[in-house]
Amino acid sequence: MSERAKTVLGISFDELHARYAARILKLCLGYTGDYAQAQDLTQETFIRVWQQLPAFRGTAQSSTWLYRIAVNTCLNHLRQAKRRPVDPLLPQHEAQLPDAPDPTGEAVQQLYRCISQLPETDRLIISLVLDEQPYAEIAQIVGVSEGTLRVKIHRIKHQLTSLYQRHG
Amino acid sequence: MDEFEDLKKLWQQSPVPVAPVDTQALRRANATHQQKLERTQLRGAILLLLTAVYLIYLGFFSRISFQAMTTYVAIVFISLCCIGQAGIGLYLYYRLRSIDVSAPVTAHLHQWETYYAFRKRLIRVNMPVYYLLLNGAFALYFIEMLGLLPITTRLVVLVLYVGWMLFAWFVLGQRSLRREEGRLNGIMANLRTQQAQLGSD
Repeated sequence: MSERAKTVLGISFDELHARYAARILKLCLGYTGDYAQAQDLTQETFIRVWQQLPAFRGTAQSSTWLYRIAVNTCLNHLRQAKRRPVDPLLPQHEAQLPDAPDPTGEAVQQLYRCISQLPETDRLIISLVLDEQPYAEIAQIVGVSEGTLRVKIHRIKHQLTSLYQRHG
Repeated sequence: MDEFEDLKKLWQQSPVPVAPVDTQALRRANATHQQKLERTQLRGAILLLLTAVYLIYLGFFSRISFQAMTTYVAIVFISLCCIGQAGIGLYLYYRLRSIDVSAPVTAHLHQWETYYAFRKRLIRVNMPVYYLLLNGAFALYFIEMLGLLPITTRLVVLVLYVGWMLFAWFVLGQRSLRREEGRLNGIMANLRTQQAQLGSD
């Protein structure tokens, strides 16, 4: 693994995983509202990162690049999930469950559920805002102008807080 | 926006245990549409290449010897058809692999639309040409093969052959193309939805 992991920028897969795995998992939790699915998506994101790492030329920041892969992975998964709403748990998922009980409190679970009720791209944007990513970077990840993004964020914040108050 | 600041704190304070990456298991379990499209092309190309190798072995390196030159020409043509089609499959695989999953939505959608347009053009030209050349080569092959058989058997073989070719064209081929088109349209429809959501404010 370590041979292939180094890129021209000297960023290794292990470094990327250590630095971003928790953030990507939260992003996926915001998307799905479901811990097991979020774990799957995080792993799939890193598989794609692994596959794409040798091609990464550093035209974007490593975080922007990684978040974009996570976003595309999540959106691709949701499309499939809509067609096939119930995926059976596979043995490798079940094996992880006893070690991964509900990791957060009810309030956080409620927050994840509220985020997952927003439109797909709004989930991504607000998850990145909650994670305090700079607006310029979020705009790059999503592929919109910073001005448009600010308008969106303003609206999504209102939507999310009212959703949370309604269900909280 | 105090309420939102509270939500932000809640989000940031929530610890989430991260599992190590199990690449092998996930590759099997979570194949995306893109991976399925890639695999279909790669698998098809490999099978065609193996077919070509087998035919060349059979025609030129095995103990079987044919009487007519047309049979050898047919074997070469059929093999070339297979190799050509395998080359196209490998090129499509390369094109699919080149689609950048880390691109923003608009750029990502554009890549898929370009691929889709290319694939449509290719199907329009490539499939009829492939079938014509392949059947032409088989016609040459049959000159010797059917010449040895009685007329009734010739007719039976020809009916079976034509039946199989029609089945391959109208049923298997069309089904495979419909499945491929469904996957491509699924990907693009999803990206268009995302694009619409991004441009909705």
